[in-house]
Amino acid sequence: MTGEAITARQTGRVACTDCGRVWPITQQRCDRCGGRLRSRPANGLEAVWAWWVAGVLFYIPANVYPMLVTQSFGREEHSTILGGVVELADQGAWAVAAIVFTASIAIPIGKFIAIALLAISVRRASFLSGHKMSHVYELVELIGRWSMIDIFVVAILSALVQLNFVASLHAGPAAVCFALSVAFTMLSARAFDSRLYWDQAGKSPGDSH
Amino acid sequence: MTDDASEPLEPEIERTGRRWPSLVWLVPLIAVLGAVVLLVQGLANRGPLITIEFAAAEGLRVGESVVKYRDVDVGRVEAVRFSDDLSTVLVMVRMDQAVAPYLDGSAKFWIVRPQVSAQGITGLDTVISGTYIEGSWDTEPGSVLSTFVGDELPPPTPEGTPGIRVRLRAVDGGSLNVGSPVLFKRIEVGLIESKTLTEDGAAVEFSAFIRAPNDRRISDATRFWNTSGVDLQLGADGARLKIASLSSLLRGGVSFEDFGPGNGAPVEPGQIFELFTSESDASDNARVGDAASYVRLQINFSGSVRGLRPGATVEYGGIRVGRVIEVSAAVDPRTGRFRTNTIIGLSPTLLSFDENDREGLLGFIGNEVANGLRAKLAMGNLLTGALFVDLEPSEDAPIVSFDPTPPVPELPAVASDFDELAGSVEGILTRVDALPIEALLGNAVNLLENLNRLAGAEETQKIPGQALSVLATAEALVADPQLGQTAGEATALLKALRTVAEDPALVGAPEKLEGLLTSLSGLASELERAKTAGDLAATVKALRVLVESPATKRLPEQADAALASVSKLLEQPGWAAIPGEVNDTLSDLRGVLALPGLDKLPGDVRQTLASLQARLDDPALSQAIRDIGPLVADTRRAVNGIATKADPALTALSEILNDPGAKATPAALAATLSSAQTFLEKTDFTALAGEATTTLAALRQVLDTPGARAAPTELAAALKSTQAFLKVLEEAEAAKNLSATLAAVEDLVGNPALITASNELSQTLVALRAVLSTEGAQELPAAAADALTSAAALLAQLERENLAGSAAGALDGVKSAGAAFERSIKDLPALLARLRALSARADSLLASVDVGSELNYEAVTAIREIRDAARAVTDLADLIQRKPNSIILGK
Repeated sequence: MTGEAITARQTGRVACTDCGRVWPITQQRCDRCGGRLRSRPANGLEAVWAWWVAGVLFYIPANVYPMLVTQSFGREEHSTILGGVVELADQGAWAVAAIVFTASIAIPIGKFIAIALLAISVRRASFLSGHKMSHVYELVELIGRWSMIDIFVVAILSALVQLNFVASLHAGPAAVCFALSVAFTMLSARAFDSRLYWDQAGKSPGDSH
Repeated sequence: MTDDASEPLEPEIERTGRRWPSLVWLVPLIAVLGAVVLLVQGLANRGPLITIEFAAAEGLRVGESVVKYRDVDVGRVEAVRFSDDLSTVLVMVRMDQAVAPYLDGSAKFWIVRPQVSAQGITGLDTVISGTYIEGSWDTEPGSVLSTFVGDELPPPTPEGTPGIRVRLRAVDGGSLNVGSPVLFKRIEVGLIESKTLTEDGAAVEFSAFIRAPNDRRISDATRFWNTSGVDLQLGADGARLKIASLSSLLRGGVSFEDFGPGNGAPVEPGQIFELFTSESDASDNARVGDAASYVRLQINFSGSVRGLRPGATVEYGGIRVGRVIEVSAAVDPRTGRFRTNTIIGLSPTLLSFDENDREGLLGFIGNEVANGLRAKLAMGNLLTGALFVDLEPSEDAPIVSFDPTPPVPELPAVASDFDELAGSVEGILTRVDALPIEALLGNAVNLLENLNRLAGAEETQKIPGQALSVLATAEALVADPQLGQTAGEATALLKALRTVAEDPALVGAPEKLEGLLTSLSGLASELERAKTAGDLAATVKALRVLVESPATKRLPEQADAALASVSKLLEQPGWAAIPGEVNDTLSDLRGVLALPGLDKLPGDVRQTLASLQARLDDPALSQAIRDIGPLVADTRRAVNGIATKADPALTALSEILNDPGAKATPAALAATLSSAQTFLEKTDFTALAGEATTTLAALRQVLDTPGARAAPTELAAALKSTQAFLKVLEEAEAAKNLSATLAAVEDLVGNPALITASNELSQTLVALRAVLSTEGAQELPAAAADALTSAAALLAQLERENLAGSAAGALDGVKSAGAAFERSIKDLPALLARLRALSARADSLLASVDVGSELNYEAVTAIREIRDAARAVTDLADLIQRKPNSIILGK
């Protein structure tokens, strides 16, 4: 038992993804909740990759365009995500810089990498063991929403700091892009069917795990 | 794999998945498409990248600083970098496609920064918004350039502004600066755009732009002048101070006006105008014409030409015809003597010649010189001593020929009037200065005081009246043919008198008299102390008023008429008998004097005098006399009223005198006198003398009685009463009543009944004669004598008072006038000194006004400091603009 993980599919069953009731694999629809039963997603990893690409695409302008537009005494200042981090670090606010860096750069990029890794690992046996993939997936799920912290900061600031001429903050175009990027990444992670990596784990009997 | 049931399902699912790609792919697809669209659009709309060269970037920020055209963003700075040799800063600007076609040679760029200048504060918005680049170009698309050189300052006039651009040439830059306004009737219609030296450095050239629609006011008859704020002119025609607005005081300005009589021809842009230093210069130029057309004449004035300056006017008959061009000195080659050399320019146009008609003008001048025309220096302004050259015909000038051939013909000159004038005035002042005025005035004051005292003395006042009466008597006496006889009689009478005088009883009389006189003198001093002077002065004033009244003026005429009547009266034959009668009377009198009873008389007289002296010594009398003063004052007021009425009274009197009845009077008088004579002849004078002696003794006794002693006191009281009475009268408008009374008298006198009365008077006199024939008449002389004495005394007193008062008042007047004169003379030196000081100050003021003087230097320094302050403010503004938070955080 320790070596092999047996999937439901291998035992000729299918679990309802909505309510968790297990049916025979021939069952088309869940009798309990009426949900459609699929042992594996129809498109495989297609949706994952599509959301992933969209997320990455939106992540580019999110970093190129200014995230925060600061107006103070008639002067506009545009700060990008990375520019903000550098500025904070310049001013000695290392802790804040670290937080912003982690939330806005490290986590999203990490997520891209993690999802890509999972998607690849599902197809290629040599990459990660099913257990590891499971850990990574959980991590991605857990941490993914924290990427939005930057957006929340911008939203709160632009709501609070509206002192007209003296100082006012606006969300830049990057904020929207970033939010979309995070959302797409989350959708990408969500589209990933965790059952797939157990299929892969089952295909690789040589793996010691 | 082991489960067969699962096998058929798996391919089924995968089959459907492979056929259709997931719809999710639309999301990245749309994102990519959107990005591509944006990219293509951005690239398509992207304008040209231009490079502007600046000396410094002045706070430009990459990606933030914009380029504005008419305050609209038309570009953004994309890069700022140095030129290869680091000499300039190259600013790369991405321009909008919309303005790209206009970026031709006309485009100008400059960096807008806050500026505090005399024109105001500009670019203040950049303090908070950051610096930006302002662009300006015309509205015609041209060949597009990609490299521009930025301007240091914004162009004063935006491209394409309608108007005219002209050039102004001045000797120096003056206070004009770029941006200084061009004013027309003190309204700003344009501005100075640039200020450059001409190629040869001989002049300063300004470019002035006059905006439409005022550009049409520029014609070739227009004159420009520098409105440098303060214009102080001190010339032969006085001082004039013009102060322009504070703004033009700070930044200068150029005014223009068309002084010409008509409209000049319009000018092309770029026309060169001369910039005059003042409005008067400009208007002079317009009137007098160009200085180049002046005909130069040389004048050698003999005296000093101090005060004559280049630019001073040359007048001909009071009209300006030219100006002094040069005043210099030279050594005359012919005589080897120093001489002044004045060159004047005569304007042909002002003398109504054609502008270039030099020959005509010289011919005219030659003709005039032959007729005596000479140049002369004249004083234009006493304060500044400024001179001008006056051309005027001199009648007694020697004939001089005028040679028009030399380039600068010489105009003969005559000595100016003011030289002599000044010389004589100076001489007078020197002499006046040398006068011992103070001592002289002191002496004069003393003299006047002494005169016053002398005139105020009683003795002096008595003189005229006495002299007058003596003269009248003498005249009458001399005129009498029987004088000789009378003289003989008089001699005899005097002999008799001498006999009496030699009587030893008379020997003591002089001493008594002396005592009497001493008393009188005391009385006089009492009078003096009685402070009657005030009243006297008032009396004199009243008298003066009286004298000036028309009634008084007519008095002489009336008096004349009366005198004529008197003279007619005297011509009556009856008068001739009078001397004879007098003669007889005198011989009778002599007889009386020869009587032995008279021996005792002197002694009695002496005693009487002693008593009289005692009376006079009585202080009560002094008091009485003191009271006379106010009495007199009151009387004077009464007299005022009377005088006006006296005039008609005199007329009436003259009529009376002309009356035949009056003419009969002398005859009656003569008869009376003969009666008197008869009376004297009949009278027992021996007894009379005895009686007289007795009477005198009685008189003495009477005088010695306490009642007589009290008499003066009573007299004083009586006088006081009278005075009070007069006051009452005055208050009761007695004068008016008196006037009425006089009018009544006048009526009465004019009444024919009076003539009858006069006739009756003569009859009365006849009757009187009869009465005199009676014995009772012997008492009459004494009573008459008493009455006459009283009257005489009163008259003398009155005369004295009035005369003294008038003289004293008059002299007081003279004295006060003298004092006033003295004061004014004292003030005169001070006044002269003040005038001198004023002139000195004016001189220093004028000296300070000179170019390069201290005042000028101060003004320049002040303006420099203002400029420095402005620069400091600009620097501060720059700093704020670059680092706004420096206000809070410090530099």
